[in-house]
Amino acid sequence: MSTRFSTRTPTRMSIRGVRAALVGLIGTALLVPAFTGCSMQRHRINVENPYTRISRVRPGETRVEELTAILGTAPSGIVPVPPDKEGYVYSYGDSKTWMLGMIFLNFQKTNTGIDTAIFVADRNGVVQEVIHGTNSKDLPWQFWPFGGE
Amino acid sequence: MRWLAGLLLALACSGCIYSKTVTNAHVRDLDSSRIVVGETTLLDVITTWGPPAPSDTLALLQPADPKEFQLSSGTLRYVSREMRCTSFLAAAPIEGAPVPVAPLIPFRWCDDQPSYVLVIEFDDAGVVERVSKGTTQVVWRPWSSGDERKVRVQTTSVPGVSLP
Repeated sequence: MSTRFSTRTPTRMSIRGVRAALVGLIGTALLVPAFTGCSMQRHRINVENPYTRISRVRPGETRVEELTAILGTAPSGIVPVPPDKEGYVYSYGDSKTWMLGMIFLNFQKTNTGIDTAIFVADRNGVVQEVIHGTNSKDLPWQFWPFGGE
Repeated sequence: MRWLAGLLLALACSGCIYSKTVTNAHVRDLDSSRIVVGETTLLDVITTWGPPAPSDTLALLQPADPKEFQLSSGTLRYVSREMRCTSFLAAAPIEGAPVPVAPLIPFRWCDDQPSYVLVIEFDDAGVVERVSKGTTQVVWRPWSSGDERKVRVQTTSVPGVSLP
C-alpha cells in the first residue's frame, strides 16, 4: 500500500483557496446589488373590472338608481343631454408600471389608460344608451422607455 | 480602506433612471381618415371611439365638465400624453466623515406634453365641421432642449375631406 503526497505545501493551497473564495464573495457582493431586480406596480382607478360591470348595464331595463351598485362607485358627474335626457358620467382607468432596476441604470415605463363611460338616461330614469371607451383595456406591461418617437 | 470607501460611494450612487409614462396610447391608433367633414356626426364618433377621456389622472378627481360631454354640439378632444423623465441620484461627500457617503441627492428633469391630440369640432347640427390633428415631440431632458422639439399640426374644414 502506497501513499501519494502532493508536492505543494498545504499552506500555499489554503491561501489560494481563501483568495478564490474572497474574489467570489466580492464578485457576488457586487453583482447582487448591481441587479436590484424589477418592480411591477398596478393601479386601478375608480372602477374595478369596468368592462364586466358595464356589460351588466342593460339599455332599456337598468335604472339610474342601480348604476352605483353595478359599477361600485358614484358617477363623476351628471350632465344634461339635450333635449331632455341626462348623462351619468363615470371615469375609470388602469395603470401598469414596470421598472427594471440595476445599480447604475434603471429603466421604467408606465402605461396608463383612462376612460369615460356615459350612461344616457331618459326622463323616467331608465338607461337608454351606454357609450364607453376602451383605452384601459389590455394595457401592456413594458419596461423599455425608449422608442416610439 | 480607500477602495472600500469608493465601493460604498458607488453603491450610494444608484445611477440614473429613465422613465416614461404614456397615457391613453390607444388614441394614437384612432383612424382619423374615418372622420369626414360635413358627413360624420358626433354620435358616429363617440359610438365608434367612445367618449374622450380626461388626459390625466388629476382630472379624474374633478367633477365632469358638462361642456366636455355635451352630446348635441361642441368639440371632442382625444388626447394622448407622454412624460419622459431622467433622474440622477448622487452622493455628496461629507467632510470629516469616516466614509464619504451622504444622503442621496436627486436630480430630475421631466418633459410632459400632450404628444398626440385629435380635435373634432361640430356644428350646431352635430356634424363634423373641422378636424385637427397635432403631434408634439417629447424630449429627454437634460440631453435635449425643448426648443428643438418637432410640432406638427394638420387641419381640414373642407367638406368631404378627411385627414390621413
